[in-house]
Amino acid sequence: MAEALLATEVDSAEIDRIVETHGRGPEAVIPILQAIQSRYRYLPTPALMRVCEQTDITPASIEGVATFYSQFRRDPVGKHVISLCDGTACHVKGAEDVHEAMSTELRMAKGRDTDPKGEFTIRKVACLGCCSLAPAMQIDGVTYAHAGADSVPSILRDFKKREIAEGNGKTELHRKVRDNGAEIRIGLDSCCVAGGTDRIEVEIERALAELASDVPVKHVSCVHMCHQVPVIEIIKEGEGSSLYVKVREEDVSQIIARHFKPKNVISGLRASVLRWTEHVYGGVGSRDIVERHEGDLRDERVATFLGGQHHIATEHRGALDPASLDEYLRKGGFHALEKVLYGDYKGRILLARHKGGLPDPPPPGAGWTQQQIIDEISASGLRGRGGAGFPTGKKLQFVHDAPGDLKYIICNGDEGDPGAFMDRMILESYSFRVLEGMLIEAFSVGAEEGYLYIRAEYPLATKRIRQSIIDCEQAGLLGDNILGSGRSLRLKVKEGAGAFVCGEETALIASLEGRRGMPSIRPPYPAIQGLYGRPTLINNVETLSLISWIVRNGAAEFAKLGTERSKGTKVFSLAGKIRHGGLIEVPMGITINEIVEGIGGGIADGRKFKAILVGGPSGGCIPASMGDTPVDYEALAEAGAMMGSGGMVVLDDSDCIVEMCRYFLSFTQSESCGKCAPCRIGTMRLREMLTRLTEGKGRECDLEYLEELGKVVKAQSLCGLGKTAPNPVLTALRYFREEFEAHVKGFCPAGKCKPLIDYWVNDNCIGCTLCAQACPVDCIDSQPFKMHYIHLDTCTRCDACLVACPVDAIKAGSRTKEERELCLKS
Amino acid sequence: MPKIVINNHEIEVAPGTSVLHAARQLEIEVPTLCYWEGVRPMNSCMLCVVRDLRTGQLVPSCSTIVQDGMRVETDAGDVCASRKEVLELIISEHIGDCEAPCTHTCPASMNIPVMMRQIYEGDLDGAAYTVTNGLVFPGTLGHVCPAPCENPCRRKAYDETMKIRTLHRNVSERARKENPELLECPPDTGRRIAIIGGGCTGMAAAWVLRKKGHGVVIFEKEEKAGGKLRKLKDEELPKHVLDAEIESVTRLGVDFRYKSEINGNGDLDAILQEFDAVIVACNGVAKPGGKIFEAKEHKLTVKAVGNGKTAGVWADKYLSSITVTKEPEFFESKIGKMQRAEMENMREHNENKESLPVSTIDGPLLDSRVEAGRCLHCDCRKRVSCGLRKWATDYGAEKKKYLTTEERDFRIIGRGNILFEPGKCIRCGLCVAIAEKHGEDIGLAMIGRGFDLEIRVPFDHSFDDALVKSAAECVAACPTAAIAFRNKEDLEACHTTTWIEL
Repeated sequence: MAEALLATEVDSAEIDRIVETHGRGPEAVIPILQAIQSRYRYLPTPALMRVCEQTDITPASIEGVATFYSQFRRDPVGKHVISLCDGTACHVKGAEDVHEAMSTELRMAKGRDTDPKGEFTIRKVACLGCCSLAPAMQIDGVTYAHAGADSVPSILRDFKKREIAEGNGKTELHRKVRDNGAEIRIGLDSCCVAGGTDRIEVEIERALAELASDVPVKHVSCVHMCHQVPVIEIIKEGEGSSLYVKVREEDVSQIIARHFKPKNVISGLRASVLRWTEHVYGGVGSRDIVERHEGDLRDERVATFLGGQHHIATEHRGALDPASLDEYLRKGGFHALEKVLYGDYKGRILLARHKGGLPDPPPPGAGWTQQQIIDEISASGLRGRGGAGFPTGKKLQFVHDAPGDLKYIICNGDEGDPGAFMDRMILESYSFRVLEGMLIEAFSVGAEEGYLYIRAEYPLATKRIRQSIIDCEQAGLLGDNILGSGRSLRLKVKEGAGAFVCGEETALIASLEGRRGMPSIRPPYPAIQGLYGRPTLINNVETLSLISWIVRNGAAEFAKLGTERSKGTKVFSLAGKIRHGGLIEVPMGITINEIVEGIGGGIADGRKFKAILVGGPSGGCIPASMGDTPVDYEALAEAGAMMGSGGMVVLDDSDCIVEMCRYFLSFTQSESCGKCAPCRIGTMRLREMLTRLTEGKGRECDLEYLEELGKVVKAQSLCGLGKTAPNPVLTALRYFREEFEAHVKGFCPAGKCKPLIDYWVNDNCIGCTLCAQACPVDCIDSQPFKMHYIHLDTCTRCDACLVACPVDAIKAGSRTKEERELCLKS
Repeated sequence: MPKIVINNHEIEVAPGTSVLHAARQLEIEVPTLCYWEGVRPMNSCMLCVVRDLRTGQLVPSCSTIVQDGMRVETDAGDVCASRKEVLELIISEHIGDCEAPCTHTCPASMNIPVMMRQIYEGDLDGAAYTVTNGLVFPGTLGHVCPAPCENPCRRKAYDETMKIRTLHRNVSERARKENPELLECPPDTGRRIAIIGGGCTGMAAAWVLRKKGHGVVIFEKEEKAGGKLRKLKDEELPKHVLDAEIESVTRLGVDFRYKSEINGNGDLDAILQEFDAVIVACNGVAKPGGKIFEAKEHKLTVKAVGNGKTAGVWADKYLSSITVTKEPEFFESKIGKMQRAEMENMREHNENKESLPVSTIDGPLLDSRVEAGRCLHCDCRKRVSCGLRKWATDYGAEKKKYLTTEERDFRIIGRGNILFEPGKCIRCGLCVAIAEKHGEDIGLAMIGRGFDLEIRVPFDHSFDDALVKSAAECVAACPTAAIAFRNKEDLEACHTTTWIEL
């Protein structure tokens, strides 16, 4: 019903305009669909038919593409779309409960994703990339962090409030800014925004305006301490830097007042009066918030968090304005490019820019040869950071040697691993570094055309990178005949449309060409036959961000870091049940324990470290007992995990391994492209078996089948997704077999699998009926003054009875079959 | 020219040749489902995997190009085990009946749906042939059979069960008349078989053996053949019906020796001396073994006929020097019992239903053609040439290894000439690629992804409109009968004849 009401009339002239903008070739299908969806919020059939009439896109292709990518919807949606993150970190922090709570709150009918009023549509997304702020959700453009099930009503209230406020128009604050050595730094990448920094910024601006201060507020790159956001750093000449963490809106004015004095008496007076009135009428207690929230770099927690790290990809972390090309140039940016083009570094680009021009073109034969660049990168020992760890130098050599005049370079920014967000952070915070890496690599292989393929869920990253490309083009650093060197590189940004499998390079190429993102068999490798059949270099974002450092500092410097086979550093997103989560960049070879206990500060809530998931849904759980495993491609693979793209999710003893495996398999299953039978059906059957285990319906033979089928899916699937999908299960069976066996017996040792949790009444029961009154599903037999009984078949395990019982007579937990029978007898 | 070693046989092939083609050149069989000449490899079924001995990895042979010095093995135990697992995965979501449930239930394994189609198309001679070959006594059984076949009839989901028994009885009228084709036998093999007992069991065995060209002599102790059936009252079974059917057995060339009771070892020894094989179709004359075969009598006449037919087949195999082993078990995909909700679902989604006439009155007045038109064609349109069935049989794939949770898909899509059954589709995409190759205006699309992937016609056009130029190739290429012509059965056997073709 609601959907019929929501359907829209399609204006064919508008569709024609969209086609005009994006082109008529088959490769334009995804951008065209994205444009139609952003106009109509879904893809109406008449619109698609119109596109087919007007372009070379066939009905089969448009229908196939429109139903392949999860971003596209063929049915009308509500006014607002709620994207619930179902990434690993959010999952362990209760994302499923959030989904349930949201559906209940919006009174969704069963099997529907849009509420009866047509106001909200709920959709699950693979990962919003805010793992250290889990659970996270996005309503339209607004991200909410720590959005637990109980906070659902308040989130909806807040969203509606914002909607009204935006309808009334924002009040813009205008204030003069002068550079006098002081500045306030605030991180404004996606996780900081989700943590509330945008609202903090508004407060800062207001506080500064009240003081008539001219101190600039500067947006800086990711601060990495995602567990501490919102973070603001105040730099003042003579005072050094002061860091405030977990700042709240109401604290801002006090913090600002502490560092900056009013410019004149009147505004000072007004500010203090305002503060006083707020204090009296605003109901804010007079607690000394500032003290509690103050932290600085010497703070022990911060020091340990940052201490073990080594910043290469994330150089100038938290200090660089990500949107400023000038600042990037001042801080060593394009040093490497200059070295490659001119043979040495003399700050030519920076100097010329100061004068408002371009540097002299490099004299003929001055720069590095293609082979020189490749040799330098080979010597550094750099391996692909996308997961498989293929030596980057070798890949460059392949593409370089491949015959053909036209070659492509692609930056793979389709970070899909739920639980990893370093690529997003790098694109948001260090976009120029990525572009510089692409320039150098493109020169080395002779590619003059390139694409950055960026996940649909990363709008800020896409926006920043687009702007950075424009900035670079204007500065003569991108485009044709770069700095007069005769070398060219034209870059375009392509947005993904929501498919994990597109991180696989052949699927990514299919997607760029406007096809369903289905992988194809290798060989031929993209290095020989890639985009449009041409030799194509595909590198991951993080790999590209390391290139400039290597060229600038020399391969030897890079090779000094890390282990024998794995050189340099790796960025991880550390999340889960850890005290200090966030992005960390660590030298290869650091052990799991050093990361968890050292950098991460151990497990939160005083629980026990059980395992760490490395490599996301393609990786595996390394048990705590193997904490001395070094972070190294081979060592991790031997342990049954995988470097993957670098997601690390820490589990404590309240997490169930079987349930985690079920989660991962349901992820890979829903992301399987469906091309080959072993993956398409195999992941489904694995998922079903794991689901049955978590429901206590497992059979003895299931463990054997899991192992057998896991091996078949691994050996016979076409691409990396299927070949690695069974890893979590196979590794878990290796280390935690007894936990699987317990589930076959109907017992969940971690007490996590709801259907395996029993609620029962013990002798303490006084027959007060309070529990039965609290029960929402009437599953408790309660005669006054007689011992009550809980019917488990209807019980929803909501815990209400346990809370209501005044005499501690209700127990909950997972029991073995024998224990249950024993209890029933007594 | 690159050289490759496959299972220790070396071969030199043209550059760009796939491992599959190299293997075929060596006449090494590698199973495939989704491979079709003239279309790029789909890499969907992954049945054609072989082991690359240089890496130890399994690679799909259809799309792996031979490189010089390559060494592969195609038939190692673990490679086959791996293929079997994949077949089991595909089967786990394969919804369809290889043979119709009525045929499965019939103890004499008569091919009921074929009879229905022959009646519907007006090929009454053909129908007579089918019923007589299936039941030997279609008229008699038309009276006495309890018709277990009518029980599982899926037509029940729409209105009521098909009147199978009435139909084969009506057809048998025709069979009893002169029907030269029906009584045709292959040239004489020169082998002679004695059958002891002239009841319906013995006569059924005799029918099968005559149809193989062997000479048959039936020893019957009574004056007339028919055994127990003779004792039935006329209202249960009119004598002329039985007599006419025995008459046709005689006309087939079976030599009846009445009043010849075989007693004791002496008689038997003499028979064993004279004949190449003996079938015992009565109680307690001799134990089976050597060239003696047993056809057990049964109180259910149709079951007795079935036993006779089986004994005939075994004796024929013995005479043709085929090692007599247990029948190879053919892979049978079965829908089995349908839940009420499933039946409703099927009824609701079957686009075919408008063309199905409703049930009519029973009895001799029944319009056979109308009645036969109600048949749902539950048997698969590719029951003989289905690739999945072939490989599942060869690899001994298990049917119900995995418990599944998805809803079974019984849809039959298509009101026109082409029918599409998504439940049988293995999602290989061959039809999509073939339609694309032919430059269809509409063509087919892969919809959705992962497990929910399915083949559909874009913008809800019909299959007939989508496959204007490419329908025949799509039907031929489809590894199962997911895409098939409504009125054309593909009976070109890609496998040895199934038991049902007896």
